[in-house]
Amino acid sequence: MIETNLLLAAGALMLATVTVAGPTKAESFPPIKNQTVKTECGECHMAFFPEMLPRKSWVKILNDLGNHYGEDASIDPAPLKEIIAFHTSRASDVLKSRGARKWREGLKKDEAPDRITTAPRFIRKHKENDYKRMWTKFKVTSNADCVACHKDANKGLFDDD
Amino acid sequence: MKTLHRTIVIATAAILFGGASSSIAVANPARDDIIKSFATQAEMPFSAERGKALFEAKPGGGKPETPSCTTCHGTSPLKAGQTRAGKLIEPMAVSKTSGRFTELKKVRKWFRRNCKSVMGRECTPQEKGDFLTYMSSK
Repeated sequence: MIETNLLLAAGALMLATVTVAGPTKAESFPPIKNQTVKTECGECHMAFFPEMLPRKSWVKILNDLGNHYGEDASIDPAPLKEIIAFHTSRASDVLKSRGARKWREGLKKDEAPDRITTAPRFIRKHKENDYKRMWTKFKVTSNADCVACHKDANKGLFDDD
Repeated sequence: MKTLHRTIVIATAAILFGGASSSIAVANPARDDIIKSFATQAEMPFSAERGKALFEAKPGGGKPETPSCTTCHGTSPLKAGQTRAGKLIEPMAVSKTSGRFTELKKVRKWFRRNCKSVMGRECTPQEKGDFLTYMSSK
């Protein structure tokens, strides 16, 4: 218990330092506060922002978690329902926010990318040479690892390129 | 108060010896109960050796991206692994990650998912118990 508290205190201190030191940036997306989404999605990868894909994409992806990009990522029915509701109500073609608008730009009618990395916005923002340079620089092993390059990605901040 | 005192002693011991001891198994009642629950459905006593073999095996039958437990967890349970999406996985050995295998719901969920990913089927209670016995011994 005491050890945990110490760790927590140390963690909080580190977070506080980063927050104070970092310049204020515009938020691309509001940080995800839903605990089910944070836990269930965030155990294997950063909990991606629902604004990055249209509704149809999320319906397809979240209803096929038993076959999730080469892994069984199945979730119990109750949390799954909550996660689907969270994502579909904030999808790029549902939400009116700036972030959602940016991510639906370039999508064809009824287009439903099955990966964030194949969404038009992602492709536009990750031009071949720069992208490769960053991968090498930060020793990135997966293009699902936003945080490798976008250090504040978890907070919805991607404005650091 | 007595509990708190004991916590302090354990925490201090963990701080003092945590770095040096790599093979001292840390007993935990919740984990013991989970292992016992598998034991009632198993055919033979659990074996850390069989657990080790299972952890390192490439059984086939699962998804091509995840041929073995070690694909993501790494070959040493004492070291951290990495998910295919790049996220750190705390070491599986209970001497390194004390909270491992202490929550039945979590244990069930990850066995279900990962056995299917690696072997294309659920693990048997025997396999689960062997696996947990191995990780508890590390």
